Amino acid sequence: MKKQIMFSLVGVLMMGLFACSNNTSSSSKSTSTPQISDDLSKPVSLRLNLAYGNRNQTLTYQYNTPLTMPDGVTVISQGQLKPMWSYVAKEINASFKDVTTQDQKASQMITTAAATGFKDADIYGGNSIADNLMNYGVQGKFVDLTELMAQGLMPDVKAFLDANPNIKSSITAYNGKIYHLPYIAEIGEFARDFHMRESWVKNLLDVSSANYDTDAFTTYYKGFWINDNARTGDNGGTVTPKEGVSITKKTNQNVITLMNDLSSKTGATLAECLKKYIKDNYDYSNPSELYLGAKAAYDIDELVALFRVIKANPKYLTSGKATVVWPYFTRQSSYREELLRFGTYFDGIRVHGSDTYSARWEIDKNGDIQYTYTPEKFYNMLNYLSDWNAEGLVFTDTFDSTNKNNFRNQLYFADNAENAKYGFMTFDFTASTTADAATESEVRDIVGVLPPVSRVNGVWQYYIDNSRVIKPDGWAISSNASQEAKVRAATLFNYFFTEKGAILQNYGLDEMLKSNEKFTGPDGKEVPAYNDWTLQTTKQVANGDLSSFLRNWIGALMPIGYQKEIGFEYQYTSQRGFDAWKLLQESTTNIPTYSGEGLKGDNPNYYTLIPPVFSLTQRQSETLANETTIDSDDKLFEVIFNIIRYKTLNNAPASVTLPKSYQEYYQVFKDAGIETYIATYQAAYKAMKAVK
Amino acid sequence: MEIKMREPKAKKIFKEIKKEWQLYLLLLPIVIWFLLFAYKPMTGLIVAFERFEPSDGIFGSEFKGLSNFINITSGINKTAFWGAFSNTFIISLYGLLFGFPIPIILAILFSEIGSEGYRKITQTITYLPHFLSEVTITGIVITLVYSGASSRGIVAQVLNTLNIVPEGVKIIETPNYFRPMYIITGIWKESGYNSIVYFAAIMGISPVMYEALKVDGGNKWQEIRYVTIPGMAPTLIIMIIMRIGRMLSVGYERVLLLYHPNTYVTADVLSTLEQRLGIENGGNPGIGSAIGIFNSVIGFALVISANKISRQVSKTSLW
Repeated sequence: MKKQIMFSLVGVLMMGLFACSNNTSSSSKSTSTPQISDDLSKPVSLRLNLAYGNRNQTLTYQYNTPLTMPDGVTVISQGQLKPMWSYVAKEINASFKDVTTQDQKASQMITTAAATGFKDADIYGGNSIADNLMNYGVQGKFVDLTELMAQGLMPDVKAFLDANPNIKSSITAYNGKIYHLPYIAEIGEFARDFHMRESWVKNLLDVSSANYDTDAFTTYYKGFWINDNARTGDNGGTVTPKEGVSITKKTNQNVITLMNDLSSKTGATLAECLKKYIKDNYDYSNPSELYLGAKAAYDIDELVALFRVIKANPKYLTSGKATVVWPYFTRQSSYREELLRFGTYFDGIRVHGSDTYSARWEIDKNGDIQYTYTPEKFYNMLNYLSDWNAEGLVFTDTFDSTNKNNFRNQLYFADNAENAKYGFMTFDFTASTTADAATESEVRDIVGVLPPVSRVNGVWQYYIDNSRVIKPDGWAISSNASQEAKVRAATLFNYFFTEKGAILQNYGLDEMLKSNEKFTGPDGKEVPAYNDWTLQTTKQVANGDLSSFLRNWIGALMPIGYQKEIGFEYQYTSQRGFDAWKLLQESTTNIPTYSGEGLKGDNPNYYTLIPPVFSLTQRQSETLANETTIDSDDKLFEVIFNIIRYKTLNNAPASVTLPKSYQEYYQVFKDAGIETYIATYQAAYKAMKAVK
Repeated sequence: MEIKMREPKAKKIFKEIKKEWQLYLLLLPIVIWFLLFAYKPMTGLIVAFERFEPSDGIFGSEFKGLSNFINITSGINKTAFWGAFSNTFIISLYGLLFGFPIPIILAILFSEIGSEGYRKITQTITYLPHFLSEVTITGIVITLVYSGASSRGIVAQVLNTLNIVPEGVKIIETPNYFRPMYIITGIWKESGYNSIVYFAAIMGISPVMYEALKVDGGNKWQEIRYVTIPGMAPTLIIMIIMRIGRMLSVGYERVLLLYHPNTYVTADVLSTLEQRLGIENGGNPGIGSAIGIFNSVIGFALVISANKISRQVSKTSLW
């Protein structure tokens, strides 16, 4: 009996060892990944759930009025796939089924899809859900794209990521895998820039005897480049707006101090003060050149001085049509964070580490990420902006989140309206801000200008802390999709990284483009040129907004995984828009990038953009949810704007408590768990970097 | 002597159903509705005790015991939670004090209008706002009280002119104005419609009572005091019990549409906090559910208490 048991045990052991050796051999086999190819002769059906919170931006055509395509025969009606998607479906021999709940927000879509096990579609995508795609990917809900690439699928995606390691690392989860392909804006390009009313600057500063306003003006702002920080000599005395052009400020005068010391502050005295200051300090032929054109060399105090002169001269500037004008505004109240970008010009305070307001991170000299809203310098900047607001330099509705109006339309594009309102400066996209007037009777003179010059990262330079980035938008393949759907979805993902697919997604269908003719952009690059049908139809159905037309009518430019080009935008830009681009491109203005190149200064990582998403482990997500309220407490960020609105004037509504000092300000964040929040994200960032 | 055996209970019920099957058939849809929409979702309560992960589902998510409750009552969200808790009570109390009597007064006034045509017109006018959605109503309110560089609402202008609200102050963002704004909006929207039930109660009072009072020399005020109000008492008590039961269910949509981060201090109620922490900004559904359960348990206790007190004091109760 004992022998039998012994033999049995030995037998079992042998079988076990045999099994193990088999496993070993199979696992060693898996190190050379089997290659897969997609048999395009076989049709495959793909279900897509791409949510953007707006039915017009999904895969299917949603307008009541059908669109007749250039051939005059093809008509796209409501509910049909948009023409670009029909074309792509044919190209990859797939049939697309749009299973999107048409007006659903992407964040709601992803939660619903998660609750139903990501079974209702093969591909999920949307805006601002990249972190969800990555985190669910880590949980195994989305297909590992790195594995698909290793299997030989998506060769063009692989080539693109290999050529752009910064992009690759930005979308790689902490486990080293990629689960989504992002919408990549025109990396390395300027995003927004500053714009002004050209005629106002000239009329104020270049006219020798003007009929300035005489109403009294009250000042609060004390200036930034003052006392030991005075701009002179090595401290920004000479700056270079353009290669070969040097502008020197001759004295250590500060224009804000000069204005504050005036015994009578009116539109007239402030304007004369600024003109005299420019004459005493610079060698411009016209004083307006301090602000306009390629030789602009104004700092933040000189900008405030101009704002004051504008604010104090509403009747002169509007020929008596208005008694109030607004020197600075943002496009709408939901863009009020744009105001905080002035931080750059108060000694280079970084506010957003990427082109999204929630990216409140910067990278310090040790390579760790730091929260940008809590340092003392940020709090001080809020106080400066509060002084501006007290002087009426910022459009008051900017802070009012209940106001949903488009201020750019109101303050820039409606000068002929009854009770017109006027704004002077904004920070926005060039093409749309400098767009021509809808009617010829309306004369617009909005021009792009260089940013204020400042000490940024310890170096005097021209810098805009805003550039085109990898967006937190994109798409991913459900793990529940069938094998053939996964493979065909990979082919679809790859298609938009091929030359043909990229042109299609960036410019639209062949029939919308001029054959054998290219459009030359201000940067000298040749891009596909639109034919008359495209431009005319865009005018008819989308008020000339080519971007909307391509996205909402044609189905191109959707924020799926692809690399966006700027070429389409050039083709609906006015001459002033081109001038603005040229001005920036020919200047020495720097922007942040993923590679982080820039003028050597205090922090070698200053210019580096932060990743669009952070890959958090389940434990890290849990820590954030249970121990911090930084992301869930919108009251926290209202505090920032309350300081700007009420601190200087001390007029906060009853029951709204303002932090009286930096310590109190920091305590607000501390109570919300900022220290845990920072530590958690620092750990996540380190893990992501370690994977590189 | 024949001994009569007691009929089994189940058999008795079955016989009853068989006998009155038409009535039970009518009842069936509402029973199904309750099962589907009131009882089945109760399984979701377990989310309050979990670190809920949508992709793992209700039964697959990690069980975390009372951690979500600890989070809201003594953890990172305690200030927001207890603030919302007290706001809920205060707003409800104000609603009860100011909102509850108005429909009763309206009903009494309607009952005193002699001309039927005029009464119908006034009733219809007061009922109308009830049929507008909260979004429309709050949209109108925000426009009326809005004060900005672009425009100023008529109510804001009047209040500025009368020096009740200082010039430049934004009513919608001022915590002290939230509760009056909320209560007044509620009264405007619902008083007329809520008066229907009281008006019906008044109509149910026997005219003989009024005639008897008149014979005894009673005047109009005495009619109201000694006949109308006592005649309405059972309805009033039932309505007040129901109202107390809903004390923690403050009009969620209206708060959500009228409040602002600056007014959370007086405006944030449990249901809006539940929505914010549970759903918005990548919220934590477990915490949201914990707030919901807390809300329901207190509401349940309040109904029981109100019913018991009413039964002992006025001999009138819901059960």
